[in-house]
Amino acid sequence: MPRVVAESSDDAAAAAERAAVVRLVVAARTGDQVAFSALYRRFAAYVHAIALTRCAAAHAPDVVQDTFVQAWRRLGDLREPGAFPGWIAAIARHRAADVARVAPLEPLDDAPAPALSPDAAIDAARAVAAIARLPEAYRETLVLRLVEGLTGPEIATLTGLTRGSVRVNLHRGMRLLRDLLGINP
Amino acid sequence: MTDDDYLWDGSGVPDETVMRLERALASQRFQPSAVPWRAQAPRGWRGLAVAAAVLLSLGSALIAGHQWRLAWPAGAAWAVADNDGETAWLTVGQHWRTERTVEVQVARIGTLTVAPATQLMLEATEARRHQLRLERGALSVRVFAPPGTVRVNTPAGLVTDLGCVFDVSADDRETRVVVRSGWVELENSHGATLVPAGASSRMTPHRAPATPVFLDASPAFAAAVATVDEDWPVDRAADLRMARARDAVSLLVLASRRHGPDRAALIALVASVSPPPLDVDAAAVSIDDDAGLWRWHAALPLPPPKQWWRNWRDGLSGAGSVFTPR
Repeated sequence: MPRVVAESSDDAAAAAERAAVVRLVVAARTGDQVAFSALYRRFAAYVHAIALTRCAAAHAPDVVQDTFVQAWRRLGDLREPGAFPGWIAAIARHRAADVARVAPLEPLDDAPAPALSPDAAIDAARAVAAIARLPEAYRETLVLRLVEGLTGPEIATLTGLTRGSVRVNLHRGMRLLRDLLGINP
Repeated sequence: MTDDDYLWDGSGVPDETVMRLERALASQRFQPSAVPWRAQAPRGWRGLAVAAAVLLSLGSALIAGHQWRLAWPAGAAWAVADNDGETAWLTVGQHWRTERTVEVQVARIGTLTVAPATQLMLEATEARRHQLRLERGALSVRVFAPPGTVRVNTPAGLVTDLGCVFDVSADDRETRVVVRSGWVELENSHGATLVPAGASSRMTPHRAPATPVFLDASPAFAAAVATVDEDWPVDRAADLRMARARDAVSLLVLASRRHGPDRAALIALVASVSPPPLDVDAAAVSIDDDAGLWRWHAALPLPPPKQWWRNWRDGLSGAGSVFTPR
């Protein structure tokens, strides 16, 4: 049963990480900048992924910056420290939507691309544009996996989604992405 | 194994499309910085527009050079200077044990002097993110780059440069850090601490990183800080009274980890060597005002971590050399 052992040890690691986030949020609310810095390191990639699915990539670092500045100012409003992942994601989505009004995502070329070679079909801008067309549930998960380089278990821990949901999002999102990019499996 | 294992966690048979997407999208990956907010831009005056334009063109040249220094292809090897004039290479994933002191180029942003009998591995290297694993031995790191660019992973926790020069040594039981310039952050699963230039700290796998203490503090004061760090009551550490004004940083960190009479005693000591700024009430801090405590900490005469560029001299010794990545 090594698989079961591995999963329970992973679950313990995820629970420890969630507890660490709660401790950091509690400390950061008292003005502890070291703790807030640690939260920043944990969640900056998540915020960046949210931004990439909503506004032009060149503006994503600004969304990260603005989101954490806003989070620092409003941290006192967060009643439940364990809700931090969803809370900061909501701030990021609002901020990215604001930025998208002046710097929207590049549109995906609508021309079908069945004749393209796999390498030609996959360039960064085209892939990001295609991901942005996916249903919302799949976008952020796929960007966290393909752009930010996180594994499925890491995404589940970071976002608070169950592992099953993350796995389904990755699988279905990837299938749709292949279709949009005109790549056969 | 299912077909999705590679997509799920990178295990199993690599999926060619997923790998191509990962390669193509790596350029979009977030480039971390240890500082979550940027310094406010100074307000400009119209009358200075022309001078600003001249400065801008000069600045653009400097920025272009700076961007070149920070750029580094993901996974490119680091150059190792050898005594016989040959250049060796440290590659990602390669376990390495030194036999003598060697100097390694940290991409284009700095140097690493590695002591004999040191075991290390280059875990990751790409623009603005370089991470080593130090199993045992000692390194001196000299980096001129934004905070968080270089990290040293040790058995006891993570050491992150915040724009600086520092020495780190490690074995299975303990990691020790001495900061020569700038700041360094120590972090493990129990907590984190910031160490300023001229101070040292250590961490073990089972406790939060130790309170930073300046190297020129009296040995008796340093021993007293270690006593309180090990959860002894403050009244068992009488030599804390030997604190000087600059030792307030140690006392405030200790106080941030204590409650009740111990905290009050520590805050009284801090106030006696380095009074609080006007907007901080020492009495409130001695009870539970953590926000006030950190404002007090921020008001101490230490360079703020985010102003790493003030340590421009760190870039003068070998950093930014002409090695071509491979």
